[in-house]
Amino acid sequence: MTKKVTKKEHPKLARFRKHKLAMAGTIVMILLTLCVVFVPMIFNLDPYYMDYEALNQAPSAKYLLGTDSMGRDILARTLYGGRVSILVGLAAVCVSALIGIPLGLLSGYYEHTVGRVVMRIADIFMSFPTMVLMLVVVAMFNPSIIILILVIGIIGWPRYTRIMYSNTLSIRQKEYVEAARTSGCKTATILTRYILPNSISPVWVTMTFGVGSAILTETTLSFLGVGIQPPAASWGNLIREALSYATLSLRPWVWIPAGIAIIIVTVCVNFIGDGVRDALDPQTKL
Amino acid sequence: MLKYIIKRVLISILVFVGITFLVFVMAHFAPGGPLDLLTADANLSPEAYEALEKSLGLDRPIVVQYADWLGDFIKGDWGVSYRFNSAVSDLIIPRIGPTLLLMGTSLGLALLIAIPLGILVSIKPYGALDYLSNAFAFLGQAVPTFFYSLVLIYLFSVRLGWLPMLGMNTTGETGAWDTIKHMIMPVMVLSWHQMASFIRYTRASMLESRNAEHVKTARSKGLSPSRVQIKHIFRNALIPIVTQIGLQVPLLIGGAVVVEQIFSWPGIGSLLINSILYRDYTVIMGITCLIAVAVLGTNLLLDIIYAKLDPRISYK
Repeated sequence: MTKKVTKKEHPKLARFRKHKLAMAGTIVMILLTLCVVFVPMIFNLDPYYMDYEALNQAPSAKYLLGTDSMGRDILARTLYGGRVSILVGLAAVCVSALIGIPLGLLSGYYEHTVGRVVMRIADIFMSFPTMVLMLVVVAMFNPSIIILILVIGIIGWPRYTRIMYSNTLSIRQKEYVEAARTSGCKTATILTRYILPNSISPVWVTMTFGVGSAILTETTLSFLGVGIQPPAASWGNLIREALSYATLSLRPWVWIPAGIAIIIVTVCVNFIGDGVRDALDPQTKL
Repeated sequence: MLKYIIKRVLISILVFVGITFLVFVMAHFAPGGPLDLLTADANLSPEAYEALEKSLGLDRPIVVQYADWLGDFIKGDWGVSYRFNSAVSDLIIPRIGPTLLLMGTSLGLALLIAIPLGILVSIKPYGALDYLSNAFAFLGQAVPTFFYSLVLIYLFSVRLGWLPMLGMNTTGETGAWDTIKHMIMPVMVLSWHQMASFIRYTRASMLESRNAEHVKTARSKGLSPSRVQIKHIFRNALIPIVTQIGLQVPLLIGGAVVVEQIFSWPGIGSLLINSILYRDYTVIMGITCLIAVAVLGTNLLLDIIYAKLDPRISYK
């Protein structure tokens, strides 16, 4: 038997794979995302269809998780809600990073001009309760998925800017940056080719954890009634149903699955984040 | 020291103006702004609409309107609520007490549990207790507050019937015991959510300062371990914890908003959410400003405490 020559695994990836909880979290997240995307398609589940003959049904063979007061299938709604919540979580983090990274890079490079102004603004954003700011902003628009992604994303920028800022400050003084500068590299090249790749790794950690907190934010806003609006489903507005006493006390199957789903996702995302952190920077351990 | 305080106050005022201006501008350009709301039912001609805009002063430049509003705000005239048709300050002021009671108790309880636990855990890091407290703290942040609140209500109010589920007092009762019974669940939710980072920071900063030179000296002098732990390690570990309290205040307020709404706690948070749902802009503005003042005030206070705890902090 010939021995296959395997390519040597990247050390960071290897470290990540050794982190058991992170691997478990990754697998569960992938499975969950696949479920949320494909199960409704395969089994033809409709989150809006109202079955008037099956109002407020407890879980049964026909409706695995029961139905709500309008006879809608809770399983279908929970899966569709998952699509929305996971999408908003991922997209919002991308928006934050897209704003935060360039700002942080520029602030760190031009410490005394851009940096002064931008970091003061970041301080203001960070000192104000994000939840209050989001509630106020979301309420001014008519909330939709896009608005939610933008608002959660835009309000989340300072965290990324801060990290990029402090990393850029230290990388900027490295010899290779100095060398690039003296050999006549353009500032844009220095920023994107030399500083960015060497200062971005902590951002991946923040982004991973960020997905969890963005999902929590979206579900909280939807729960409070200012996020995803019914009839569209979100894990948050499914749990909102429990604000009616009858649903809370008599029909726990309506709101418990969505809550458990949120917990699973946040736990997984946190495990993955721990794994990413240990993989990128094996020295720090909090 | 005085110069340091004055500088901090000036920065805070600047930040306050920044935040309130931002919210003010947004409130004015938002679809369904104050004027649309007033004229929602009336079928006004464009001329009448303009006249109304003029009579309310809404046609002036936004900066002038803001300055006007700020002047009134400082004088204590926070405007009139569109929804209740009463002065905003009359709506907000009676709700400050309940919110402070809820937030203060939660923060106090969180610190009371988290700091000793963090110290205990730091004595034997990576022990069984360390993992246990880590898991406990971790879950506190992973479980969304609103879901946790509902589960508590379901268990303790609906199933067991031990605790009242809504409000601050049972109608007709005013005793302290009655209020305490109403507080148990919201305080549980809020403090658990707060604890995670306090435990983590106490543990980390205790671990960091226990290897400092002065601690070694104290140990080699033959002081008892508990004395070293409390007087020499903890005192130095306290500074990062105080900073952490400051950083947690915004999170605490955000959490209180959600929790108040679920438990119908008659505080600022539930008023804010209901005003948002009804687009009652003057109330939203009033509460936002109040929160801004509260947050900036706490930060200022903590900065001063911080400077007192660590004399090395420069007052430049």
